[in-house]
Amino acid sequence: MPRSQRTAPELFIATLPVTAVLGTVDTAAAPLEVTVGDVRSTDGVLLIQITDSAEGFDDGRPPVASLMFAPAVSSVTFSVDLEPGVYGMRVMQDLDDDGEMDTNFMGIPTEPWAFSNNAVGNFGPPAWGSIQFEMTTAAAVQNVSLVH
Amino acid sequence: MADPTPVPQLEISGRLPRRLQGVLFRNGPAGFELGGHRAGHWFDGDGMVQRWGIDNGCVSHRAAFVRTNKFLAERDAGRPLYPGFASVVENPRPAARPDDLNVANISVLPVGDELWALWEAGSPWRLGAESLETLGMQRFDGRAGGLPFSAHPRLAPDGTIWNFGYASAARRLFFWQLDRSGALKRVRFLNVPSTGLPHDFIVTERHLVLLLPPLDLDLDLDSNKTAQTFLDAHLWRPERPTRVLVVKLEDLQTHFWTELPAQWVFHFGNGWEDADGVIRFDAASAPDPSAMFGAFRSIMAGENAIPDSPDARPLRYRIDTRTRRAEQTVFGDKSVEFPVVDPRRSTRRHRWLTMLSSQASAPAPHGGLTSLTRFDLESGALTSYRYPDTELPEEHLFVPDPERSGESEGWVIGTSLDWSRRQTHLNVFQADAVGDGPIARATLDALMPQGLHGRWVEHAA
Repeated sequence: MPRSQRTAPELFIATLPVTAVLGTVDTAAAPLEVTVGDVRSTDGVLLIQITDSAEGFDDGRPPVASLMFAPAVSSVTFSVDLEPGVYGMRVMQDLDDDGEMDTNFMGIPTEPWAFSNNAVGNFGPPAWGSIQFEMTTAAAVQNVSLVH
Repeated sequence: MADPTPVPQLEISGRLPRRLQGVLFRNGPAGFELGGHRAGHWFDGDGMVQRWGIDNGCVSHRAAFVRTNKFLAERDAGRPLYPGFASVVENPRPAARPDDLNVANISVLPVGDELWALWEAGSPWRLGAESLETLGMQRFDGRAGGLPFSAHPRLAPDGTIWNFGYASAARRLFFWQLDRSGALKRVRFLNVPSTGLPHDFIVTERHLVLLLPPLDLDLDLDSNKTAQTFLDAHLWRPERPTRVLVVKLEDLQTHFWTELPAQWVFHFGNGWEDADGVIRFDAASAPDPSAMFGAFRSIMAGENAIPDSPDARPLRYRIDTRTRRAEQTVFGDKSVEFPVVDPRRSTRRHRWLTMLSSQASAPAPHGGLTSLTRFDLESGALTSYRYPDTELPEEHLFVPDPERSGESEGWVIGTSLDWSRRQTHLNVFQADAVGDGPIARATLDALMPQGLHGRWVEHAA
């Protein structure tokens, strides 16, 4: 689905909390500052999803947070407020703007991607155990690097 | 290990032919040790490409490791990080995809101004043809990016680059068609019961042919986990035939299967097809792959007693695409490897086949191939040159004389490793007189690692 038809948040490069999207304000929420590094082109859009369960990326329910940013070489930084809990984050650069992670004939991604903790799987996506990170009431940081 | 120092002018003995002007590129595994850890198999060494330039009677040498993702990550960490084809690593990092393990160490393919360093289970790596600087991993568009691209693409006379690739766990074979500039025209695939580890293939004007040996992959081999490596997860089944897959180039889909006795082929010479649909080709064929399972590992461990492996023999094959029958005959009683033909005859009928050979009755102390041999497939005659016992010859290529068109008009060139003097030689033979020995030799005062395959690129006139 082309960018113009999306109803997701507008594209931006600056810091922006997403509490407005979630529709709640909670004083226990703390900022997670995310930097996505090794961005090599400005093509397409950076898609970020944050989920709170192992099934959360693919079970059809809306993720905890779903963000889009215009790619900037060589990194993009943003902040998102999250309540205390355990989360996992998935990043992809949708180079051709088709709303999907493109793959080759072996099912291997052909667009750049990253997971929280820079987790890498063994010939497949990383397991929840290596992706998950914990949010407390303190600020947290995730620096991830795109895999090309 | 650092890149060797470039040498702009090597010492030459004999006389280089005036019309021999160009570059011999070679590739091979060369990085075996890091942080005190040693690779477990010859095939797991990081690739190093060599450039032997021949210009107006002057020979130069340059070499560089391919800076793959694996190469850079491991040197940054100071230790091996990833398992290899047959090497085990302590505390390995997970590998998300085959290209994370890519060592780009088998062969080379000149493409435009670049040189591609080829592995076989992932993408080519792009180098500058002059500097050998690593430019990056080759990324094909669409659904082709990251697919396996074998180390033995075949070039058709019109410049088309045909190739295949195998994905063992997925049980899928890929077929590639690129134009002469390396641009992707098509990639198609077929699902197969088992791929084995096909290393090379044959292309004629209308078909491609793969031999799939009875080598089963079982990733859950046994609960004792003795199959620690990818190689060890393969079991040789000599009671089963080698399956032969013949695919039409027209659609890279229409195909048929036939069979040959169980055998292990690393390399094919050349194949062609006549007007009656009969495909003929040749290969160096061994009864089984024990060399790959045994000797190529022992040599890494420094073992003096290298296990005996049955040698490859020269075989000719015939597949009738109408009856779908396949037949084979042995020609010559030597052990052989690295078959090559005049590149202008690729996919067409060829008469001359150049190979390295050895004779069981007259071994050299090094235990490897000893001689350069030219076979005349029409008359059955052969001519041979035996290298001194202190030199190990490497793959030799036929180089056409740019001003002649006959299939045997040109030279045969190849390297030899002299470990007693710690030198590497580039040897040049008159193609129709290899028995006379080299007519010229350039000597590099350094011993290069034993390599695999290369290509000759003629200088533009």
